[in-house]
Amino acid sequence: MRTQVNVTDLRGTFPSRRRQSKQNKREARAGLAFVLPAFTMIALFVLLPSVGAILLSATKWYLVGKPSFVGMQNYNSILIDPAFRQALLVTFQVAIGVAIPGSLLALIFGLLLIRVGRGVSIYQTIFYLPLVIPSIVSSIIWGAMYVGNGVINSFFGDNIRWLANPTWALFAILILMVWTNVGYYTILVYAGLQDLPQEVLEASSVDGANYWQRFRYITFPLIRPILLFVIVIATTDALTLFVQPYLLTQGGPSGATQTLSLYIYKTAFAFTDIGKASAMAVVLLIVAISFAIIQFRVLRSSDD
Amino acid sequence: MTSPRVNVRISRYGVHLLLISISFLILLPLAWAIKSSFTPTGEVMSSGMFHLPSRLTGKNYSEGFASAPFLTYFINSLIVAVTVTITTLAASLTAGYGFAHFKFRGKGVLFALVLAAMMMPFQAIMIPLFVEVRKLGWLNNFAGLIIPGAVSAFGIFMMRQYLRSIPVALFEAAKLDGASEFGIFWRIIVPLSAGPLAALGSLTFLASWNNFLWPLIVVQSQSLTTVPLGLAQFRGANSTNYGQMLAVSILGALPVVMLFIVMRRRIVASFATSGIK
Amino acid sequence: MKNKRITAISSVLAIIALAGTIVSTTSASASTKAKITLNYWTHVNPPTQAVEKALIAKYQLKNPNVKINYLPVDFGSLPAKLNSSIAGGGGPDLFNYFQSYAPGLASKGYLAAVDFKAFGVVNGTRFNSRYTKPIADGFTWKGKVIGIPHEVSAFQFWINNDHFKAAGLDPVANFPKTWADVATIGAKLQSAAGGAKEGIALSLNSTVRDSLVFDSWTRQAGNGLFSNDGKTSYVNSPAAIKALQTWGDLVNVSKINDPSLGPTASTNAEDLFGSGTAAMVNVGGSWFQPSLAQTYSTIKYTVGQLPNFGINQVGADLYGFGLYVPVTSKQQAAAWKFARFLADNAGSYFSGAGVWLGDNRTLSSSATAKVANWSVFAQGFKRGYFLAQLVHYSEISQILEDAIQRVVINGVSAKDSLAQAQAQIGPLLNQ
Repeated sequence: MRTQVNVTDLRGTFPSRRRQSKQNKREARAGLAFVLPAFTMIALFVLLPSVGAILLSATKWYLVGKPSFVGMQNYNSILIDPAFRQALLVTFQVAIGVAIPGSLLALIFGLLLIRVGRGVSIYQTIFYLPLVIPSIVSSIIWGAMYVGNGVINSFFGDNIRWLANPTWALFAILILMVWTNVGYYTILVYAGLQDLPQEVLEASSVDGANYWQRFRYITFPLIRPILLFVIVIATTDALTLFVQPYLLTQGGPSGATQTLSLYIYKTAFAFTDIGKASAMAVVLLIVAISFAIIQFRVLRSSDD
Repeated sequence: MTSPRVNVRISRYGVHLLLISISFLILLPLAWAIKSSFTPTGEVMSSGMFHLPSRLTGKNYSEGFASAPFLTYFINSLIVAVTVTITTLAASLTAGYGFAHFKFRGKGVLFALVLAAMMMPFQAIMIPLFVEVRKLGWLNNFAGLIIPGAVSAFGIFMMRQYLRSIPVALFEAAKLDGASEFGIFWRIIVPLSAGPLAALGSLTFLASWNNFLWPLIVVQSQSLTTVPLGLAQFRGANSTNYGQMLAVSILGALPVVMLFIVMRRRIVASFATSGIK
Repeated sequence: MKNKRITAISSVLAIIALAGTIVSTTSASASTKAKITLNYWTHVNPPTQAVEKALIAKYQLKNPNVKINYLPVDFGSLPAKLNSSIAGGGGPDLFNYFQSYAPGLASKGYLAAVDFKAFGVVNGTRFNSRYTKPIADGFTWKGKVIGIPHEVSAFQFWINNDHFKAAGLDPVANFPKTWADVATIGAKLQSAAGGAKEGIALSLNSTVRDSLVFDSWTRQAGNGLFSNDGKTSYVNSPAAIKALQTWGDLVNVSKINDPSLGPTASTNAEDLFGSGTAAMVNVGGSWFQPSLAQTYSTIKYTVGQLPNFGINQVGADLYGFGLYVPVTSKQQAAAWKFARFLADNAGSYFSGAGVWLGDNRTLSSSATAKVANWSVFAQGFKRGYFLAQLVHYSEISQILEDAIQRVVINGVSAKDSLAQAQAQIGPLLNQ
């Protein structure tokens, strides 16, 4: 017979079944009450629009009248659109161009920071400042520095047409983005380095391992997940990069700095081609969510 | 062979030297901007990176600020940022608490949806959001600026993480004493969360003040323009007036820089632990 | 301790926010009581800004109950700003907009037809008589007049006298008449001692300008890029291929133009000419002369008609700006009245900024006698046509720009590049 009797619970007194289910209901109601208001906002202003993007991507619409259903036509047109392919390329270039120098610099800065006892927070504050400043402000400042007869050129004695030349314009944006983000990457690396097991490091130095050997065989493998995390973040940032190219180059010259986000904005609001822009937005959504999932996995594995 | 202690001291000075050089390089553009903001416009480009101008002038600030309704822009940004911060904190704490310590049907699904929302880039939803806001009649007014951004999925996630780490025992006792759910929330959870709330609040204020893309889409008149939008417009119309351009930009950055300097420890700590911006 | 600090900071901020809300609402209500406020948006162009600021001050003096909010917006940001604001039920009361962009707004029903009474003319016929037919047509959409012409121009061809002389050429006698001339002369100009860095500065990186240049170049080769009603595209016609290939060859075969020198976001092709970097340039209208006098005062130049293929005497495309009123404006009559004031002060635009508003009166006025080379510009206006009015002009001009860059920068053949462009443009033509 399987009648269940009150089993002694490790917690102590165990209420009767009926009281327990009423309590559960009370808890459930309270939990929902706490969660629902905020969740409804999220549903209305994030989740609903994401569904809307998918729906709109199957229509042809120019902001007046009713959208008309066109199936996969928008996806076909973005596949043959050279500007879309270029936007993907630019996004990829920005991701790599920021992730690699950014993570290398962050590694170096982090290794330096970890050797400093006092004053860490001052350095962190300074490194972090570029990220705190509004992106418009840093774009304006760097835009002024990149001017042809401006500061950077006269300092190096060069005459690079920073924002005029497609290659240099991309470099200009990359330099600005690395400058902006290196502080954040450094802090991540620093936090990771702080978590390193000190005993292992000390033991190995007693064994006669010098700095480079310790770094190569112990520090680096443990820090790898953080560096991977930085690369993933840089990629996600590249996908959403908008303000800096919008202000500095408006995506030019010849689309050399037109990121996907910039092209989506232009298509939606200057061309008012809502269907095509939504198709690109859906592509962006899929790529971003994939990278975010990778980001989570990497972060979780670094905690192990 | 030098004694180990000398070795250590030298290398520590070396590290500091390197770090100071790096800090100098990072601050250089900002220093140049500040210097140039006090330089007469014609001399900004000719002064070079390090040279001081022939004379310092405060005119860039006074004339620049007066040439566009910057006071309105500042007030608008303040209204939006403060409101969004308050609503975000309230929503994040309540929902985070609900997810952390309650069991109810569908909790997993709801939380998964919150995570999904967190991963969505704004650019992917800005078009339908525009359509939605237009339909609600919220374009070009504060409702459209504030309400869509009033709740942050990241905030909910962050507070849930934090609250999960709080031992249940702390408020189990209160429950047995017969305290109401809301009472527990208000008298125990809120004070306990002051630290993370301060961090989240600062981050939210920063993000809201610096927000450019959504205001670009929603704002259509000068009376509603926020600071970043105003700066971009100012630059568009005055791209060669470098002195004024840099001066007003610096003004636009001041509030968030000051906030950051005051709250820096909390902000930096919260990034390192949650690992997400 | 930290909690107290936070509470203090947040209460201060809350008080400031509350104060701000009160301030902004009271000031808003104060402004609607006594005055009409007109929001006037225009594109950035410093000489015109100076003229308009003075005119606005004058208008506000004459009409003390009217306040005009003047907002110059950089050219590239204006389409997005206008589309989204009018779509949202707001927007300015009057805006100065590039004529080619207007069909995009008109087809969506965003533009109010000209209110002739508020403007101060008896009817449409009297209105149109102020302008030549091509110009009046350029501001008419589906039979309705939707805008006031507010700047009409056409590019001319400019050459640098000193560079010509240094190459042993005479600026008047050797002024290039055909594109073949341009190629040979350009090579001589570059190879001369102390010669120009590039023989000719060509328009590039500007969807607006490049579409105009491409269209006129194609007309010179036989036909325009589109039918006048915008329903048919001739983008891959032999004339277009010939025109674009000629453009590309100047860069990649004759090598008298270097795209890496510009144009850029901050440096136009005519700036490269003004600074002496380039010895010739194929853009720049009558509005360029005040610039030359002010910014590039040392240059000695000759301005003439655009070279062609010798097939016909078609010149550069007409282009222009107009004053438009959105249907969402709540002060439409006041806006048209202000537009009339601006239009009547065509003389100030002309003398102050070298800009012709497109009206017949200024074209034949005595003021033109004071402008150097005016006969050149007047002849240019007679030789040009507006680009066809296209609903999806923004997207189409972007596609044309991509096609041009494929040829000019990447060396793709004009035939292949334009075949691709034609495929993309097909679905975007007017219905």
